[in-house]
Amino acid sequence: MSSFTISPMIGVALKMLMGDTGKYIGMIVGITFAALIMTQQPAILVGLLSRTYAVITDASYPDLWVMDPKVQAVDDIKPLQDTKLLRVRGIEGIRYAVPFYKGLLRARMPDGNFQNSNIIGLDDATLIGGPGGMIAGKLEDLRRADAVIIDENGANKYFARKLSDGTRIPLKLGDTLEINDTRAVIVGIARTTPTFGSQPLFFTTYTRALAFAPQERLKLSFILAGLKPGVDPAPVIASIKKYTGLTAYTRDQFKDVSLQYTIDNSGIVVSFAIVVLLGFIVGAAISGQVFYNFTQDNIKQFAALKAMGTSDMMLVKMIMTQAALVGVSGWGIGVGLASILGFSLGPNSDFPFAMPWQILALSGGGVLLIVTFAALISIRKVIKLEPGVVFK
Amino acid sequence: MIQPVVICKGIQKQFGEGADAVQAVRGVDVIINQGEFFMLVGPSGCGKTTLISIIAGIMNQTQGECLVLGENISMMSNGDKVKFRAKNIGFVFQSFNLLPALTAAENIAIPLFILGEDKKEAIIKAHDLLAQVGLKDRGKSLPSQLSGGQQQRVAIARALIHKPKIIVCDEPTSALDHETGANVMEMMKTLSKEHGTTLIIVTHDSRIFHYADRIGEMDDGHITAIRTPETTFGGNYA
Repeated sequence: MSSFTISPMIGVALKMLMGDTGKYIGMIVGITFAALIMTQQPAILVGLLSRTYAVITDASYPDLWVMDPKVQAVDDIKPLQDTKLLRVRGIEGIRYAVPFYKGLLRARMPDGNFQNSNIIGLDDATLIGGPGGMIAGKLEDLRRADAVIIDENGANKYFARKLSDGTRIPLKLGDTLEINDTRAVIVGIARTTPTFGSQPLFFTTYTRALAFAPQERLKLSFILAGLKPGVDPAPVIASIKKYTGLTAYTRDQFKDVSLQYTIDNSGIVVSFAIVVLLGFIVGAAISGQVFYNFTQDNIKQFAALKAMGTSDMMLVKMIMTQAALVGVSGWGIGVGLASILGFSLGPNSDFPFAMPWQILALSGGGVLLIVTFAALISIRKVIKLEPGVVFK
Repeated sequence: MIQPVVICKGIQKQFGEGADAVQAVRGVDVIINQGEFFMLVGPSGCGKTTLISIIAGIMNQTQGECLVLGENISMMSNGDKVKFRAKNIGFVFQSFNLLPALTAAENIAIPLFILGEDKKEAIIKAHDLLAQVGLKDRGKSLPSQLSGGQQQRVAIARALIHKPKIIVCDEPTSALDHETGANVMEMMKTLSKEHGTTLIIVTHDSRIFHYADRIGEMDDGHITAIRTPETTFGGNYA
């Protein structure tokens, strides 16, 4: 039985690399910097972008979001006629359809401080579309008079009462405020995904939301619909379009549409891409330069190895192994630092951070490119090296 | 019967082209025999190093033929030449060229690593050779922890470990004081005789000429004479 063995020359290569501590650390610092930037910045971008559809993420239950065909995102609202709700309920395959209000209104504390806030109006009967998690109070408490539920961020930050010594007293159950000059009582505090604009979020019933809202002819923002068990959403979406003239999306489709709208209209992706590119270039420059210097400083050793009969292929393997060790070490430290920085601040804090595997693949691919680039420069130098220089 | 291991006929080597061309070796004929201790001596720039580079297979001549161990190595592919060197040639360099991050034993074992030998066995052989060169307890020392003479002994052990048929040495004593240089030469001569190895040494150091069996005197790209130590420079070199 044959067994896979690693040439001792690979061990020689690693000892050569680690023996030059200063350059070894220099290369790792370069890669770490690049990996940190290439991981942290996209993670912040993804975290920020995922907030563009925070309302969709947090809305419980609905299979379909139904809206005016001109709507481009969850924050881009074109109200519907109330009669559309009844027409959607009549579509084959629909189990339920409920109204959903979303608007930006001014909320004011008793001390006069005010803050523009997102108001979500949930169906009075079912409360479908409400937040998934409650920190204090119950969703059902919304049925009490003037009741609203505020998100954790709003309670602890925007509407917290500031004492003269700087201490902040968060909103608590039973506190009152005014939304568009209408009394509202806090009956619950919800855990929600922070929104892109980071405004506070109030949940209330649909009827009360309409009372808070300024007088408009049309107020129904969206219709949330549930499908009968086992029904494929595609034909139902087609039927909604055919019979009501409205557009419907599944939850994931509406997230994608909202995300794409932000990407297309904000320029945020380009801004982050430039930062990532700079991280890549600086990391490549530092690591490439230090790796080249390392090879240059060891050129007589490489020449001696060539003279003694080390093949070009083995020298390539040795340099690639050195580059791989630097790459893996730097990438691991960079991703680790980005993770510590991101996750230590908590998923619901003001710091947006999300790290799906694609980001790790992106930064890993970037680091691979950098170390390959650095290794290729050194490989070229060593392959072209005349072993005769060892006699000079 | 004496077997020739190196046969050079009409070797010429030119660097560069046209007006910038430099003729480093201008038609060298030389035969070096098995087990012989052959020195190439002469002033700087006379072509000694170029000639041993051609003999060692790390440089191709421009004209002429050089048979090493019966093989015309200039006709070999690069890969075959590399394998030939790895198997048959040992090197001792002027500045030792030990890898600073490797221990003495690991440095000595490098030719065996190159030939693909198991690391553990290679290190055991390296320790045996360290004992032969008088550095039994220095196997784990880094080159920076060794004196110049000790480093050169490690370099000699490295040249011998894979039992090459030829060892090529470039100024092996130039970085050493007289006593250390003499010790190193004694050791090289003894070990090469034990191993049946041919030694080809390029040197300026007249104090070591008497160790040679024959001395080739080079000047301006030619071997002007091949003599015994007793007759080289009238025997008044030391």
